[in-house]
Amino acid sequence: MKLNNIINLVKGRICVCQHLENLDINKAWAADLMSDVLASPTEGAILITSLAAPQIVRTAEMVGMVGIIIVSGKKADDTILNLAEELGIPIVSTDLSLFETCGILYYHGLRSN
Amino acid sequence: MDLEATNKLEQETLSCSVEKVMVRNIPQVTPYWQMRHVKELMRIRRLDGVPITDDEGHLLGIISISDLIICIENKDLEAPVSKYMTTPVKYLILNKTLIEALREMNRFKFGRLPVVDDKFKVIGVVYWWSLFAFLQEALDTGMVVKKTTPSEGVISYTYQILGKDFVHAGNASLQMRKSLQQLSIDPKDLRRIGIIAYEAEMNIIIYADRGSLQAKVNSEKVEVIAEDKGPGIPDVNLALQEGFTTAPDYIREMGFGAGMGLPNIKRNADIFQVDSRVGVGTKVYAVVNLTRR
Ligand SMILES: Nc1ncnc2c1ncn2[C@@H]1O[C@H](COP(=O)(O)OP(=O)(O)OP(=O)(O)O)[C@@H](O)[C@H]1O
Ligand SMILES: [Mg+2]
Repeated sequence: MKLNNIINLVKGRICVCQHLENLDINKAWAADLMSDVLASPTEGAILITSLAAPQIVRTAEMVGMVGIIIVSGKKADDTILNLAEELGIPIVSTDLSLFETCGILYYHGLRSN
Repeated sequence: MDLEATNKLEQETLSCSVEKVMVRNIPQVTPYWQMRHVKELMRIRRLDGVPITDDEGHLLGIISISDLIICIENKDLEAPVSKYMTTPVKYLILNKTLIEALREMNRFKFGRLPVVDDKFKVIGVVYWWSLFAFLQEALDTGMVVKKTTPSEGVISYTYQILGKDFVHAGNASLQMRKSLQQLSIDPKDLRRIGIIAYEAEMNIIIYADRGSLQAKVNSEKVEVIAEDKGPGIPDVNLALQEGFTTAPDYIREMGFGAGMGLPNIKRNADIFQVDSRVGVGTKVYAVVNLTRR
């Protein structure tokens, strides 16, 4: 699935790395605990989280995740956005909740591995 | 435990591109915007100046706080930006280095300089505070403090880490991974080393006062050594159990405190050892044997 599709499905908007809109994404992982991200088969997946902190970007980069969806309308500040831009990790923001976001993307075919 | 506080800025840090310190994501403001809207933008984003561009993003001028003050004194917030913007404007070209940016800002006493690409399009702004933040970061954390060769065939990288420095949390590990990447280590090994380093770094940031993260590399293995001055761990076996944590709620709100860190390190290491003394500090030692390529 293209990142663009994902953005439309979750009624989100892309905050950084607009140029990666056509990125192919086939895996997703939802977590608010970074240890969970680090301990799970998250490589190549998009991270769905309700956490808006710089660590999510660094954690994602560390395990080779390809993008981040921040749910529940949480605001990503400049520190997060600049870091994501620098590391080339697109950040999508949606007002939908974690549950709704996961549900929609699962329904449309995204899986965890 | 010997922790050296060798905080020094490396030449490498100062000669990096201004791209590293510039703020991106600054909305495109054109001369026919009303000053009122620029004022709002500057207030909300806490910017002390914004570059003004034409519709294609080419740099035309700048509105700084002093321009805004004059406009407010004139009670003229409905006026277009073109009336108050400073032009021509000093700027930096993308390939300039950090040290050149510092010199320019100091020479002209400007607190901000737009950065343009070779087509004169604005791609960001270097603010005095973004420079400050970068320099402080380079001094305090994350950066390679020492790259040494302790003995024949061994390379060692050391990074300093400050307790409670959540803004930079994970930076040292990422820098470490980047350095190791250049040694063409197998990606699977790199992932294990990265996870070990990251979890160990986070523990220092969350629980200790300060510490260091070190990677020692030879052709067979990578040793990761995370050492800190801090409260120590009273019962190491208990701390190694999955789910055991003493993290307070505010730490959990930041995404840590699952009690999975140490078990995660153990799972990814071929050799794993924790030495801790209450009131003194903790040393986590992990080895990853490298896959032969
Ligand atoms: N460097 C350290 N100094 C002092 N105490 C530590 C240190 N590292 C770990 N601990 C103690 O061991 C416990 C377990 O650590 P561990 O890394 O496994 O989990 P956590 O940090 O609580 O949560 P997570 O790592 O999943 O975010 C911590 O809650 C803390 O009490
Ligand atoms: Mg931990």
